[in-house]
Amino acid sequence: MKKYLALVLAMLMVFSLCACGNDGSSNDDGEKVAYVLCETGDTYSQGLGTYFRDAFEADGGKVIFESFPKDTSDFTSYLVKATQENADVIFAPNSTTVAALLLQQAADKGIDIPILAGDTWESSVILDGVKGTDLKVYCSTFFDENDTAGPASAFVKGFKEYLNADPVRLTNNGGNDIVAAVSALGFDAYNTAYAAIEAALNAKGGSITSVDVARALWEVNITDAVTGTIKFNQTGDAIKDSAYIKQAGDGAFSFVKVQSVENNDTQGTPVDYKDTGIALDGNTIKIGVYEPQSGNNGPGGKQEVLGIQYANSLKPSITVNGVEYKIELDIQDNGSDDTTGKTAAAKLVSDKCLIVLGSYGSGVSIAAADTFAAAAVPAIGCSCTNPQVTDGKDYYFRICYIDPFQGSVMAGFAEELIGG
Amino acid sequence: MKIAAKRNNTNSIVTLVCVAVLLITLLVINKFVRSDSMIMVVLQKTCVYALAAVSMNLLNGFTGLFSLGQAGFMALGAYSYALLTIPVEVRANVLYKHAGGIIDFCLPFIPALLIGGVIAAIFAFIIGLPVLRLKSDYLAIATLGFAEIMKNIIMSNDVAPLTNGPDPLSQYATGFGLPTYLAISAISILIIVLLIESSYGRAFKAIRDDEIAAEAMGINLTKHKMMSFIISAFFAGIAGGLLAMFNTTVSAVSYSTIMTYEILLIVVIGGIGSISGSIFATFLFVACREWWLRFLDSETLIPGITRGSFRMVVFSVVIMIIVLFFSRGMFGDKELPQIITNAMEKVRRKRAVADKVGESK
Amino acid sequence: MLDYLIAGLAVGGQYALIAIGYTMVYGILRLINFAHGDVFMVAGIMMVYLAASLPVYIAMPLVFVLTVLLGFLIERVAYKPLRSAPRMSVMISAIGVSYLLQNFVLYITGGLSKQYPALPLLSERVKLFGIGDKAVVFVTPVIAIVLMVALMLLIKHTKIGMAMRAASRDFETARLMGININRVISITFIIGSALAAIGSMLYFTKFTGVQPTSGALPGLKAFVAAVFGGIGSIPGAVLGAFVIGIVENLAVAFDLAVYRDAFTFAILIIILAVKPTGLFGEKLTEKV
Repeated sequence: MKKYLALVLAMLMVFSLCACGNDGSSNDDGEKVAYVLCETGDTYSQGLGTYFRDAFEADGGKVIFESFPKDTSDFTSYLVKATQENADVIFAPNSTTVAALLLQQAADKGIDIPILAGDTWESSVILDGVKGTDLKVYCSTFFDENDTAGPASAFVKGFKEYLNADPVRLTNNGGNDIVAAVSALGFDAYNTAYAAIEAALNAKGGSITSVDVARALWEVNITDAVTGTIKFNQTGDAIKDSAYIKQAGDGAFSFVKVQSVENNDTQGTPVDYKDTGIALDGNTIKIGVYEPQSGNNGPGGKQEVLGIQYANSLKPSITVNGVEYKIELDIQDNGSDDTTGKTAAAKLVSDKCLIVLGSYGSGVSIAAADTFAAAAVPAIGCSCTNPQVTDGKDYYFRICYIDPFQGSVMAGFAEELIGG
Repeated sequence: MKIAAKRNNTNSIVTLVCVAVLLITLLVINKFVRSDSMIMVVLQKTCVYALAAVSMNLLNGFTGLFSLGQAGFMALGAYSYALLTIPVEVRANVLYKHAGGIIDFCLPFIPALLIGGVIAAIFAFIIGLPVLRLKSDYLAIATLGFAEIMKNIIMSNDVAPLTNGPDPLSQYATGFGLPTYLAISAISILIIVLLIESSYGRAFKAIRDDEIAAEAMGINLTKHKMMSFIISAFFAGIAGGLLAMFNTTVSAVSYSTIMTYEILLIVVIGGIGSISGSIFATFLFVACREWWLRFLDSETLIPGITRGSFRMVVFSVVIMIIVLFFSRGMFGDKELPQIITNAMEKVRRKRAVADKVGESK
Repeated sequence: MLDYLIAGLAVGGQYALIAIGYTMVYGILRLINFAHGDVFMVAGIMMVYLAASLPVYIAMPLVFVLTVLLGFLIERVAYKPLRSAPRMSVMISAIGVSYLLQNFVLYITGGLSKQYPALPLLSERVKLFGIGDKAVVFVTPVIAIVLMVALMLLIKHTKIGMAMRAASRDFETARLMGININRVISITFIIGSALAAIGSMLYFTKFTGVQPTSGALPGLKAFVAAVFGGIGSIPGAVLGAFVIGIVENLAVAFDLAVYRDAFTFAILIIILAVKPTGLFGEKLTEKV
């Protein structure tokens, strides 16, 4: 017994000794260093992290890119690493579950390096994490909640009332009435689908199929959407040229700036669709909602669904030529998991949905794309930002900006932040 | 002796009838049901999970080796399959960080599946050398550990040019119909059944029942355990390839210990040591989880109680009830044909007794 | 480097408290109690909800009592009826309980990561050895070792401890000798859950997000620690937990972050290859 104890102790000592030699890797040559921390197997996290790295390195900065295993809760050592490497900025595009843990531990360690992240962090979870600390946390997002002039203000006001009307909605929103950007995207996605269905009904009356809706989507041009103009380019992505950057403060996000990038894309034209899709049955139009209600992305998925439900409560039916078509939401949980997602998608198709909204999280959206395409059902991604979601997928559209855009926006912002 | 032979005869007839009925049902469904309806998707997933469950049953139920490495072997199969069938022209898109990765050819799907199985089997051999000496729970935790390590390695940036590291794979060969899944799964399960019926299978069962006695009878423990481990891993690899085919995207995180636990639950619910049990339990498990219980997630069903993820609560309660009250599983260690034959026998005997009573009156 | 070591020791202490529960249950029942990690997680969730409506001084003992009760109930409902069933069934039952607890918490919380309340003293920020962190980081290893020593004294010197030792040596004989085996098992579960409750307070004070799968990975790591140390041996479990905690953190220091979980298991497999029953495990004797 003593022998093994000695063995273990010896092992540990050797290990620590080797480790000491590794210490003090500093860089005093004035090079800008970004520490990028991503979750393995998370398409969103890895994609955004990579685009950030590419953009940051292209501008002459140095990037330390690290991935942590799924379900990690101990981030202390990563933060220690970031400080020891003299990072000027930390970029951590992760789920809110990770964020909650990461921020608290950063506060414990007294980290004063600015922490940047992507759109997922615009959530009450982040505010809870930042509360009472000196952390500098920035994220990019799709709209400005405090914009008093544009369509956003009406949405924010109405949505807050909607949330406060029902305690279950408040719980699903994270226990408060802070408006998440993904709710706004859910809201816009519903309205985009609504516009497309309305256009299709106007053209063909009650005999429309899901293919007609897909064709109509290419013509959609919504100028008063909460998250900016929505029209799709040839890939199926909404043409976006600006992202909003916000800082998490005590109890609320404060607007920092609009970061714009030139975008010369033009509206796309319908691709060659097959002739048969899912036909409208009677006077009830089913809109599928393909969102995680459980798993890692469950919280975000719920907020997105709330936005969709709110939009549905405002516009519950379409009346064309005197006929009223009722819209019914069919919500299926994709469990933030590829395998469950696949069956959830099949369920939506077998329920005869004309169009599908979702999902929060790019991985599940990619997994479901083939199922939707096989049934000729168009889908509108709300907050799945990975390029692969729409790339080469004729039936997948998206109303948010994409990761290469977001990555370069955040890299640009990071440089400004360190430089100034 | 004669009765036993006769019984064996009825048994095989019943088996044939069962398999025929099952196949015909499935073919009828395939013929008349839309390919994107729920039942088709559930059946496809059932084919995949059934193979995984049967391969686990071979190890845990028939050889008595308590292994929890299934998800790891499935991950190997899935990655091999996906990587080998990505068309060359889209490789640069999928492995976009690595300029298309280091594999620059594309195989048809059957060889790719088989190679996935072989790779899983090779790893099983390497892993088996140190861990198969371990006993019961230690073996379980060691194999579980290997599955985790495998997952970690696949996802690391050091092998990223090969596996795409932490990023998922997509755009490989997918979109096959139910008959493909059914054929691959059925042939694989048939091979496992034949193996169990062979003298090797009898050796496996002897090891399960009593290692020491088996050794005394002249069974080479190391060789047979290794064989069972490798064969199980081979078919787990194929099941992994099928799952990749089904999911249309592969990411090592999905092949978690939870997946292993789920497969283990299926095996136990069906009955440890019963192939037909595993198959039926898979169908029930998948159908309940993914299909029949979905209505429970609807917020309007019972306002205030049913909401997202209520389905999973009900599902786990059902599982607990099965585990507690049917601890030997649906079929115990018997096969469905055997159960039917026994039931028939019972009825016949009862009738015979009744006849006799009638005669004597 | 000290940074990493301290962090490792803290995590190790937290794993240790969970690992003791595993190792004690295994020692007596030969059952891998897969639900143990989830009991730990449920303790965290209860604290979140109780502390929201009660003062922390009341919530803490209440969580402690409720967790113990939960552990006791799980044993009575899910394991006791299966005492004569094959070992595999009991383990499946444990997996089932774990599945149920996770899904139940998912249903209650909606999957949101809940912010753990700040506990008095433990959540204070302090600076020791030039390292600033929460006090809990520095006290955890001490608490773990104190509790381990206390537990060992209990097992060595009390009557119930003796019964436990007897039961873990030979279940059937102990029963024949007139030891109330059900009582011994219940007490084992109570002690295990009590330590899990304390462990959860220490763990979640440091890692403040509680969500349905929060218990899974610490549970698995703690179990590995128990196996590493030789399952059934309490000091073995504690030592194993510290080794795993430190190695995990050093992995990051060495740019091997992706492999941190792999390391945990690699160490386990090396130990098992050298000594198939863990560091301090008893030799398995084959009964023919």
